[in-house]
Amino acid sequence: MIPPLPPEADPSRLTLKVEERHPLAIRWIHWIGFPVLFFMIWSGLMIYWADSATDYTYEHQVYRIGFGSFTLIRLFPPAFYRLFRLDGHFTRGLGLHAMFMWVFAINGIAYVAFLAISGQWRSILPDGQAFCDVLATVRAELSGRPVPHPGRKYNAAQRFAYSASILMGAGTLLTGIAIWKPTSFGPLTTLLGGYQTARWLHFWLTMGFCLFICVHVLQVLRSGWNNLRGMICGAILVRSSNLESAQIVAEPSAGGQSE
Amino acid sequence: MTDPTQRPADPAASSETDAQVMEQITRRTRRSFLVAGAAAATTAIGLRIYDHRPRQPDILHRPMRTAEEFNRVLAENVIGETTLARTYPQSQALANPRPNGAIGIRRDLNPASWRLQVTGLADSQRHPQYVDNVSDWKYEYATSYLEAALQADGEAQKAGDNNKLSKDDAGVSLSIARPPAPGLLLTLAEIQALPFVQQTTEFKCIEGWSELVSFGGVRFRDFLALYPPFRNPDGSLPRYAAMTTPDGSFSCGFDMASLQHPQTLLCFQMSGRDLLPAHGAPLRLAMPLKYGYKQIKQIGRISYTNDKPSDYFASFGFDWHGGL
Repeated sequence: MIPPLPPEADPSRLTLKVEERHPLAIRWIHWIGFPVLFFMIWSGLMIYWADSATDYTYEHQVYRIGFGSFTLIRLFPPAFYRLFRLDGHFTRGLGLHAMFMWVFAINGIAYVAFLAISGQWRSILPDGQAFCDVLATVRAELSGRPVPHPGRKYNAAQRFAYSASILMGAGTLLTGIAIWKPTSFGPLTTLLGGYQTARWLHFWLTMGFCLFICVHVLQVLRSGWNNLRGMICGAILVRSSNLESAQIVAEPSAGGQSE
Repeated sequence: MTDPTQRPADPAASSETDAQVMEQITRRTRRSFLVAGAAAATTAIGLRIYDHRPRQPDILHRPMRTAEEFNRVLAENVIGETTLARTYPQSQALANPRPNGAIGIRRDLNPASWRLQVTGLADSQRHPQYVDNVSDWKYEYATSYLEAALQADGEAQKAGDNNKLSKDDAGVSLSIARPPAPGLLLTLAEIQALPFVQQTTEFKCIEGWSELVSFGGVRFRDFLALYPPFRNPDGSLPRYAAMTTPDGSFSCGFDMASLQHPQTLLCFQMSGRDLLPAHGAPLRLAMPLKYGYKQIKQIGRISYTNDKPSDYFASFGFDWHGGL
């Protein structure tokens, strides 16, 4: 899937080019993170099951949508656990979580360290321009209009989404430690509002992660193979003029959106 | 993303044909897939081989057991098990705390026949409570005591107690034969003679729920001081303590450090009154350093040992350490 020629382009002046997109370290971290995040969420649901399965004898404090004593929906209904075969695997969930948490933590710290050292954080952290453009970008995205290309690696919405995923990763790590060792790391647990509040935060940060993953995968599917290839082999194909002064006339992705 | 000023002018590259560029990126993509596939296969096969080496006879896979063991070593040696848990005013404690399961509790036990068996002590013969074989002690079970226990439990018995012993089970001895061991037979009064401690901490069940509970009892470290365990040749304490219920049907293993934690109590009071049968009368463990499943109820025997003790919950795949 080579990017199509824009109608106004002069084919004789354009040629295909390989453009470097994602460094090797980022690609390793991304593709290690993919199964690790899956295992963490999957095993986390096995753990939530144990707190959801007590025959509804006790009020659910954490995994619910509600306020105070009012509960609108209890998360998750038994059918959900049966559907995904998550019921009755409590100890496996605990074991998987206690194992993959290390890979999750090390991978996440490596990612942030790489961004900081390589200077790549500049392409992800929302800057002034991103704050100005974010609403317009999201509106264009939702209405299906082509999103104006930012002329740099990530557009405003992407910068916010990726920064949010880093914050959510840090948040799940910190709340996870607070839940894992609420006595030994008591001050951290207290700082996060106590054991049950830390669990509530941990759960909803994970829900945030799930939302991020859904949008991310959807955008990857929309943007096509060339864009995905950037995260696989590190480079994408672009069409551009050989002349240094030439304008960029073709975009590698459908909406220039998340990958 | 395609800012031309950031791309070095490369005459050789620009002379490439489209087909050559396609060939180049296809080669790179193929190589990436091969590397990723090899990495995934190596990980999967490696875990498989590791899992199929001899492992502990339980249902959890070996890599996860290794991770739990790693976490235990980390907790005991790096994080340390000395931090004090947050305590709360007693007024915030629940009047009727939720029992976290009744596995191993025999409500048909005659309270008067209860003794705490302690083995593995230093020079145990110097204590007046010494007997040549603690296993000879007979706990008495009868249906009449079950009725009284259920009545005493009241609400606590009904509340979410899925594992409660039915009346049909009463009188059936589940006693597990244990090798003869010299040690002490202690009465509750002898344990209560130690300095009394009242503490309100957050009790946490592995299922996820937690409650503020007021526990009353004596510090385990005081108990250790009065009835000291044997010492190893190098002068160190035994590595572990094994605890079981009177009939031996439930067991818990502990590292000595967690028992020496100042908030680890031999507990005989909850919510300001005598321990209910549902909560493990007459004596249970209360320790904010561990999940509820490690806070053994209705303790029958404490044995100090250098061998890692078996643990009822660990045999079902839970973490042996269970530390918080």
